[in-house]
Amino acid sequence: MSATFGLTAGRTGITGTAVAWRPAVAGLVAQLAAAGDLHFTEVVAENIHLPAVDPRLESLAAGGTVVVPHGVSLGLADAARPDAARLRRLADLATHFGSPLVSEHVAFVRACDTPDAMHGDVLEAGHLLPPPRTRDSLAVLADNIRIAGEQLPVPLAVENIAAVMSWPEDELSEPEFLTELTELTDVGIVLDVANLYASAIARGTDPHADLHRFPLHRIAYVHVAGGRWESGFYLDTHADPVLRAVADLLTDLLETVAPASPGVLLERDEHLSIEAVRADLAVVNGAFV
Amino acid sequence: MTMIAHELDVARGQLAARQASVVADLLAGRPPAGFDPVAAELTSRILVRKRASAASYACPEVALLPGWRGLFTEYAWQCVEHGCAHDDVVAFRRWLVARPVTPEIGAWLRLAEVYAGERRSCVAIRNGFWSLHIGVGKSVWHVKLTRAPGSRLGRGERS
Repeated sequence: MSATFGLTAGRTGITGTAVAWRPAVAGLVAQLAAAGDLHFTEVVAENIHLPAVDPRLESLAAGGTVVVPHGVSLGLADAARPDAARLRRLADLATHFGSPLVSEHVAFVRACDTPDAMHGDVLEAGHLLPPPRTRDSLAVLADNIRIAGEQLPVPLAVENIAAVMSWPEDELSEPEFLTELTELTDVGIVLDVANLYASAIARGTDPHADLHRFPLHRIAYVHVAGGRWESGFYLDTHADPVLRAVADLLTDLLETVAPASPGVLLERDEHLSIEAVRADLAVVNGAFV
Repeated sequence: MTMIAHELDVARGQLAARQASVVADLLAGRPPAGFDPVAAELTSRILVRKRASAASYACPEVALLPGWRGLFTEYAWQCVEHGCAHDDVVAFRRWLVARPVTPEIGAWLRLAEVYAGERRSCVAIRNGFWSLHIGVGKSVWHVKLTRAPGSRLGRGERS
């Protein structure tokens, strides 16, 4: 497997503005695709069960829209090696949809008192948690990505998560951690600007300064989503409107990488209506200046 | 930076122990030592919200318990989740039974038994109405009886 990432690669078909495919907005996604306003989308891998795929999604893919399987439960930053069954699901979905890549997160989702999850007491966090940004943790993550890459038929891209907390033993900043990760592996980056914003606010750094230190040349595509403030933190809820500050961060990214123009995908998972998605899309499209 | 296989195994072992310790604290609503307590407390709340959402998605009747989010949070921080969201709701019911049961909780526990197919019918509050809930196959029918302070009969509906 050789990676096709990089802003000038332009071979993945992942371009323009897009909306994550969810059953509640399947009609809108189809409408945008038919009008030539959407060229790719993303599905949550854990919600698609082959061979019983929603016919609206099959039709979308058959019409030429690129479908990217996006995993949320692999736990690439777990101490344990990635689970073969979860990798197989991602691989099967990529094959089924003819996807140019699959994506996951730089996160751990379960913990076990031994690195052998088959024989320990496993605690499921039920959420994407940030790994400690130490050199040892980075080495484990890189090895897990290498293992995943060997079992996937297409390249893998990993997304920065929204992290409210930081570990006391952190040795690297998030931009440094991700940059070193891309140097150790051939992984691409799904840069989520809303997550970047949330994490920067939580650790008290400047989101724009952090953005410019990310490995932008390895971007496969971009995520954006809505959120809300709580207790002085910004929460990436996927349930609220896209914040102006997040849209500004997206503008900064697009200006920085121009003339390259990565695909930008809007995620919305709750309070999911066509009106809400259209309103978010207007904000996202407004970020292209 | 590359590690030989043995070093990597050691790193995995140490990372496993550290992640397990931190996650155990977060799932119990305890800030792990050395972490910012405000950020850790918010992370714990995010984790329990996810767990509660999964429980109410799997068993929507959970949300009919007055003050359910507070009660579920109290439960979740005491009891680690084992199994799926359905199992979590079963454990939540057991936890509720073991504590002082108010009339509202008692009524909801009977309602949960109807949803679980363990009881044919009961009277409990739903959407502000005292209602008769009847299990029919995999469905539960609701017949509105009275609404405080006045009384009103409503039409039956199925869920």
